[in-house]
Amino acid sequence: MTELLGNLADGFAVAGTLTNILYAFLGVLLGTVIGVLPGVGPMATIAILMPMTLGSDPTTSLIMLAGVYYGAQYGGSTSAILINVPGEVSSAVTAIEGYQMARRGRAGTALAAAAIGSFVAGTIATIAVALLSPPLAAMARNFASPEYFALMVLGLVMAIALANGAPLKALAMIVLGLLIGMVGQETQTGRMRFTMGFNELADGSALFLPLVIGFFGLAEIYRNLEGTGTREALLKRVSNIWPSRADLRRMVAPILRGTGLGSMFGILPGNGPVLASFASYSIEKRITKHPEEFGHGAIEGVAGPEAANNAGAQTSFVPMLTLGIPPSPVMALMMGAMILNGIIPGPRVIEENPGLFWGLIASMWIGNIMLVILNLPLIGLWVRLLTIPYRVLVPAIVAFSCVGVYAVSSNPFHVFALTLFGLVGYLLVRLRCEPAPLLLGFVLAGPLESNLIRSLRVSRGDPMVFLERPISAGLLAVALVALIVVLLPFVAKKREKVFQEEEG
Amino acid sequence: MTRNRQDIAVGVIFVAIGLLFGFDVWRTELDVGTPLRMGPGFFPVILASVLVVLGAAIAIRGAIARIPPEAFRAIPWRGLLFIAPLPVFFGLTIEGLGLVLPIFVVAFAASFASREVRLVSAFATAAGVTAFCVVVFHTLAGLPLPLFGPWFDFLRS
Repeated sequence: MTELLGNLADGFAVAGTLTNILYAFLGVLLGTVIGVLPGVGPMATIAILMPMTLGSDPTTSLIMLAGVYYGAQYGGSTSAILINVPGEVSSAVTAIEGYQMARRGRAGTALAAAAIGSFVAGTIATIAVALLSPPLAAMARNFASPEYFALMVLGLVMAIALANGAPLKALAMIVLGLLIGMVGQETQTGRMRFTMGFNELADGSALFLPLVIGFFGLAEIYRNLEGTGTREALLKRVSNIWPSRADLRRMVAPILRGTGLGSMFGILPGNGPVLASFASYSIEKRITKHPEEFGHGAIEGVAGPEAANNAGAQTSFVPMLTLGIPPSPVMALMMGAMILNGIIPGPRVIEENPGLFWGLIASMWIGNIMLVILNLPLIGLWVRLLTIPYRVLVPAIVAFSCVGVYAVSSNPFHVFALTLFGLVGYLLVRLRCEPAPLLLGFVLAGPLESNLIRSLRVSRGDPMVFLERPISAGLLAVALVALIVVLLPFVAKKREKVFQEEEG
Repeated sequence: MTRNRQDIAVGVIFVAIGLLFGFDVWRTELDVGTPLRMGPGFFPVILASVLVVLGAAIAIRGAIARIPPEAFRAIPWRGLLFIAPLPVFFGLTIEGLGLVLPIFVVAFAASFASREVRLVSAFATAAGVTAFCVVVFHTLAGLPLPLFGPWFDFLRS
């Protein structure tokens, strides 16, 4: 316990320097500004802003990027509540009750419920992250290649289970991501793979940024330019931010339950934050004392899922930081950013970079405070941002994307790649192939292959090594069961129905 | 209609990509090796094979399963036309023209992706975006690029 407090104190010393606080603030601010824009979800926001965070020292860079994430997520809830345009699946849950509250003139209360829920959840989840990470990292240090390989397979399979859309397609997208991850110089022999004679492709990981900005930034713009669906603007003045005492009382239990769910689901592979906010919503709906209000603006249905979402967002850092396994698409982005910063996520980060590790954790809490400070008093400003027309938004995003990619790679080739990835990303979206699993595959391709090679070398080419070691066998068994369950026809049908309901 | 053409197309695309990767392994003579000594071609060949199988499964399922294809959404030709070439333009000119002009042109041209564009507002937006990018990437992040690049050297005699 004292060790934990000491570590946290060190973390706050790192995160509390003027530079880091400033960058955390900038991150939260920019994240909120972009994230609040309708149709721009956290993935797009993080992708577009990532180049701005690179260039400073790794700790500062990651603190800022984490700030962007919280800001983007909270901004997404704001647009979900005010205009019913959720930027991502997890704020789609917030939109259900939040938008109804806004229609009844309780937009301010809904926003406050979201902010308070997020803050309480963020505070508790920060402690959870600090408590959980060291033992997990310690455990992971005993893992050898077969365990890592199995863990990554499990992580990838779980990504399918929870992807929106046909599981077979999601699986194919993961494999495609893994294949794209093979592009470049191979680490063991130094041989070039799939570079088609382009020297620029030798460092395959440099494709990460054009890929994410193309897939999540530009493709998103094309999709928004399809111009279907009318936006029902609900932009009266937002007043009455502060919830009444009765509202507060009704929020407490949902927030705590949501935090618990979120902290738990966040650590598990398979996009925990999203799952947690759904779980929180359905639990609140089931046990509420005001069932008549659900569907018409129940405050529990905003506070609970928002808390779950935010707690999950934070604890999903745990497996990424300690195991090097991103449990959600956003963490795949974060992991990519760490690698661009020259830090390989995994159990050694906590020992070799304690400043970065604990600083990042402390900054989570600081970021959450900033979120509240920024959002509630300035809500009028955010409301006005929602009215920014597309003809202003699009040029800004396209220009940032180009400059950003060039700023990081200093190579025009990667800017060219942006055009390609934007078009391919949009094609995939139109073909109902979600790009998130592909990203997960891309990020894990290198480690997956090298752990496979190492495992088989140790076992002298015998694939039974994965089944003879209890931990890897267990993980692979879970992965297999999950895969079978997802692909079973009747489960698939039920799943489709669930996702349709969520969208509707 | 019981066939889902979209899924058939997706499946065929995945099969084609898998075959292309497999072909490239063969073309560049990547050593596949053995499980004990996996060569650089080993894992890619496995992945490409899996992708071919998955693609085939998706196409077959699309051909036999009764999943109604989703409603057709308009293709944003205007947006694609105005935005897609911009990164290429940016990449070609950034090192010659410096930061300012390529950013301005990209932002200005991208404005036309939207039908409601007006010349004055496109101009103002482009100017604003350029100023913001210059402050962030040039002043704050210190991107080692001149504001006006070597192609302007003839002006500075």
